[in-house]
Amino acid sequence: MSSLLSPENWKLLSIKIKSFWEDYRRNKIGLLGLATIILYILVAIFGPWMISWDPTRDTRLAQRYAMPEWITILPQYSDYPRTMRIPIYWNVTAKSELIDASWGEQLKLNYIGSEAGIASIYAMSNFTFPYKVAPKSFHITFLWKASRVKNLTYSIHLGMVNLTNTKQTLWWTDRNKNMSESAFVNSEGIDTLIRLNLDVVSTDLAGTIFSGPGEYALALRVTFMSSTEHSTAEISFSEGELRIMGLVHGLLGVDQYGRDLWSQLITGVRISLIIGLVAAFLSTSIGITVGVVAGYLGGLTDELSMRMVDILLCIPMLPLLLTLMYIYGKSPFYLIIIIALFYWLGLARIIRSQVLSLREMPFIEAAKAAGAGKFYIIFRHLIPNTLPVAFAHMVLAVPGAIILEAALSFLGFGDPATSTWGRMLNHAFNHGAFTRLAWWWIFPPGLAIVFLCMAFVFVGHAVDEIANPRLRRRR
Amino acid sequence: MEVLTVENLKMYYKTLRGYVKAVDDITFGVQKGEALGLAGESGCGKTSTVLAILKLLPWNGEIISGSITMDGVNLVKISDAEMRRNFRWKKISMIFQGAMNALHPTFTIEHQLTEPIFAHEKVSKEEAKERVIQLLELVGLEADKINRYPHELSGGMKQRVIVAMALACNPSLVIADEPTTALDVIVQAQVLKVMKDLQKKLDLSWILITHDLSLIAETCHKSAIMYAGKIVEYADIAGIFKEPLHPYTQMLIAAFPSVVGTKKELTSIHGFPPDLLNPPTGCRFHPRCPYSMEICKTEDPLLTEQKRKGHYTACHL
Amino acid sequence: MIVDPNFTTEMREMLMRQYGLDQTLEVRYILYIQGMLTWNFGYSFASNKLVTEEMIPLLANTVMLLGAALVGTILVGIPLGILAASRRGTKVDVIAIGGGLLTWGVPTFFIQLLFMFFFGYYLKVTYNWTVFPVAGMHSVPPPKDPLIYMADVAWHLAMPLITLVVASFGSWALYTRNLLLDALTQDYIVTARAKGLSERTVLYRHAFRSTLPPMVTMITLSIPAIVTGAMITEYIFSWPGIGRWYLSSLSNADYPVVQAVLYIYALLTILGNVVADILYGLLDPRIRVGMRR
Repeated sequence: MSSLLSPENWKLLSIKIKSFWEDYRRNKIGLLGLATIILYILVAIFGPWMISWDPTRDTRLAQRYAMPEWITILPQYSDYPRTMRIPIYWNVTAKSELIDASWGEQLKLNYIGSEAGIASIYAMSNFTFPYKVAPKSFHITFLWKASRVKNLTYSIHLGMVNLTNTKQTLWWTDRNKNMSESAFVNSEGIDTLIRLNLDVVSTDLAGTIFSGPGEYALALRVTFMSSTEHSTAEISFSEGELRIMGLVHGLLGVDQYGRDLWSQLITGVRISLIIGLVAAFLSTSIGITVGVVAGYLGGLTDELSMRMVDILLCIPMLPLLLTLMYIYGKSPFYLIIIIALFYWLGLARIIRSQVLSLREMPFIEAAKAAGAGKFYIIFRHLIPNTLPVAFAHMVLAVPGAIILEAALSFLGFGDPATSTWGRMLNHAFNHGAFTRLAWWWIFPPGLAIVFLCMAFVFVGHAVDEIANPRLRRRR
Repeated sequence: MEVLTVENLKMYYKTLRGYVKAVDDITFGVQKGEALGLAGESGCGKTSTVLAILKLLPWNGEIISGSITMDGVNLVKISDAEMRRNFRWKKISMIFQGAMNALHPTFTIEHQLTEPIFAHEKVSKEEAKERVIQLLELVGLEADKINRYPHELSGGMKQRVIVAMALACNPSLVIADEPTTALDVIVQAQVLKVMKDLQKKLDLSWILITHDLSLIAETCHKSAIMYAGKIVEYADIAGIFKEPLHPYTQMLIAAFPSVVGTKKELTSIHGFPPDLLNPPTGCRFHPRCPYSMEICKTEDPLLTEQKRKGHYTACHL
Repeated sequence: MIVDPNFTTEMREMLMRQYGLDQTLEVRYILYIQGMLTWNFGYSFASNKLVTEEMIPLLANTVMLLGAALVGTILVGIPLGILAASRRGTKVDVIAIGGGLLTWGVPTFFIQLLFMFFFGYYLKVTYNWTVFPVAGMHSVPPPKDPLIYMADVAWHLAMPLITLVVASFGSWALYTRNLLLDALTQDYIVTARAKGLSERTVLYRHAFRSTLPPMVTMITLSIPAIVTGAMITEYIFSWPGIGRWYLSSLSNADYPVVQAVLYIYALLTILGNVVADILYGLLDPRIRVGMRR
């Protein structure tokens, strides 16, 4: 029993492949499709090097729904701010002698008082804001620690200063305890009470402060109020960062949580290709197996298999798929298995009818007369002859699987941890990309799907034209 | 009286590599009540000729020059609409090669036979039905067949239906393209008998195309032998079979094994039919002709009348 | 599920009895089958209404959408396919082939999102034109006059319908074209031409007629796909049909509804296949069962 991979077979195979490639090369559409697929595969492999952020975990990279950076080419968007991450560096501007301070990135204050009174220290962290257009929000994060507090209360006030005119208080606290806290100030989130207290007229805090390019500063005021003698306190501030949320960001902007859309797009390539190729391959394998076995062995095997196929074909795929995923889990692994379990049906029927006509052919009879067993005939003769049909099916099954996965994710039933194109579209649809006319969010994932699937369709069409002479255009 | 006259007809197929000279300057005629047998190897241009007569050529077939005259009208020159209305099926009808599939699988026999009648004449449904029944009787089928579908009939029956269908509009000329090829010998004989009877009864003119010379011997009055797009011999049956003048004809007849007589080795004509894209210069048969001379390679012999009256041949001998 | 703190054991047992959860698996399965056959699907968890009662208007809406889409696709796709086959190699042919390929490569929902983006949002936000409404089956509040109401529904139906037809006509055109081209190579076509029939008669009565059987098969085999497409369409355009109902019930774990809708889907598909078998027999006399010879 000569194996499938013996040297004569290799030679035959390589000749067949070479002549096929000769024909394929002349088909422009097929080449276009093939080139596109190769491009996508390259992106899938080198994806992690093409992106700068994690698509699902790096949130708050910019103002929600920020536009892509290249939009600043257009005149009306030319001065839109990018995200600025400014480490806070405190410069003490004024202090009472009772306070001992060391400043820089960490600000350490040491108060030793010997009588009742009030002592304050002022510090500023300057920065330059170069854009004409004001941002919509900014975030300040820092850690502060108060220790060795004895016999006094302290108050910390944080404010933002436009060095030319405005000044706004952002945050304060009155305390008299030892504590350690990480503070997060979101200029958009300052609640109403505070706003009322601050005389803030508009909710657009950032807009009020930032009035164009210039010098700005973060201002800090710490006041110690002791009512008795011998009061001490030690307060330190560290790891401060001012993040001004840009209105433009990255190659495709950000989504509703501030996650980079370009990263999501590129990561999607990998998962889509994997799902498409694996599901198509699996379903094709199952289809060939069932089709050949049922067609060749006939009898009860055939009847049972075909009845099963008939029954399963009656069930609309998407609702059942949704239900199964709901029950068993949303990971892409299950998705691939379930898709494969549906896609093999059509192919099995086609292969079976092909085998039915193949098995009456003389070369099968000759093989049987030479003493070939069932498996030998199946593997060595039947399956190679069904490969062209199966290949055509597989090429078209890939876009089917990709679109199915995209539809599933779009409906919200996909895996929330993986970033796929369908999920991008779901977020776009459900979180307001449409109302904001954020076309840079809506078009790329959809177009990514379209180009990849069309590439497979082109390849399939080209292979069909070559293998099926009837459909060839009359040259 | 001549029903159909074909003069200097040239019909080529246009391909990317040039013209395939399928029918190259042929001339013949069919008399009223006469059966002409058109014989030759596969690919010699017989079917192309009759397709050209009916103007049913595929999209790349072109009639380059020549005339096809019937009833005083040159068919080459008339429009497709006129061809359809006045000639197709009404004056000339055709029995196709591989007639098994010539019937539409989803229409009844009645429908298919009455269709041409309705297309060309104004008759009532009952009248048409009557005519169809008569036609079926003519070919030897019972009337109850009209409600059957083609797949319910045997091969021989289908063939007879095709013959009946060809007669539906009482044409003057019927072209039969290999009408018996796909049938077994007994059915062949039946169908042949039908055709001969019809010819006598209805005084029809036929063109019978076949590669089987014995068929022509049995049913036709005249015969034209074609080779590589040209007619090489054209004469009455007696002349062709008793005194074949062209080497090709002689070899064709000799190739038929005789039932009587001593057993001989089968003779065949060696070589292959020429490529009609670039046919051989001069006489197209000269590469295979045992008598070829120098002149045969350069000069294309014309079809000329020989010593016997009405016997034409195209040869330098 | 949020449970009332006053949820006593008795109430739990009562609920279990109501839903048959105190029976064994086999008995529950039989009850399930029984329910399916008698059209008794129980009560929806979410709305506490009888599932059958809630389903009927929604089913009607879906059928309206699907029916219109099917008709529209056939009216556009099949003539295009016929045209493409009869004018092979020309622009029409290329459009038909291109459309067919596009159907396979472009997800329907993306076409719908694009349409919605352009017609529903871009035009409205930029120019304040409402060409087509973006959501729902009728305006809120619905118009009282029945004629105006129907016009209103039709206006809301426009965008889902147009997008469905645009997304699907290609494959019909391509399939029809290929079937027709195949039919045109048959011998009986040459016979028909020789009979002196007009080209139009040959095309329609002979060639097209013989493509009807496989085309009918395609219609019915595409029913599951149409059902799927309707589900997504209803989601995008907020069309109140059973597809959207199914999706929301699935998210809410409203099992009676999920079971019922799945059942309806399967039923529709089986019905479609049966109809296809019958129609095929009517159209192609070679396939009829129990023919006389």
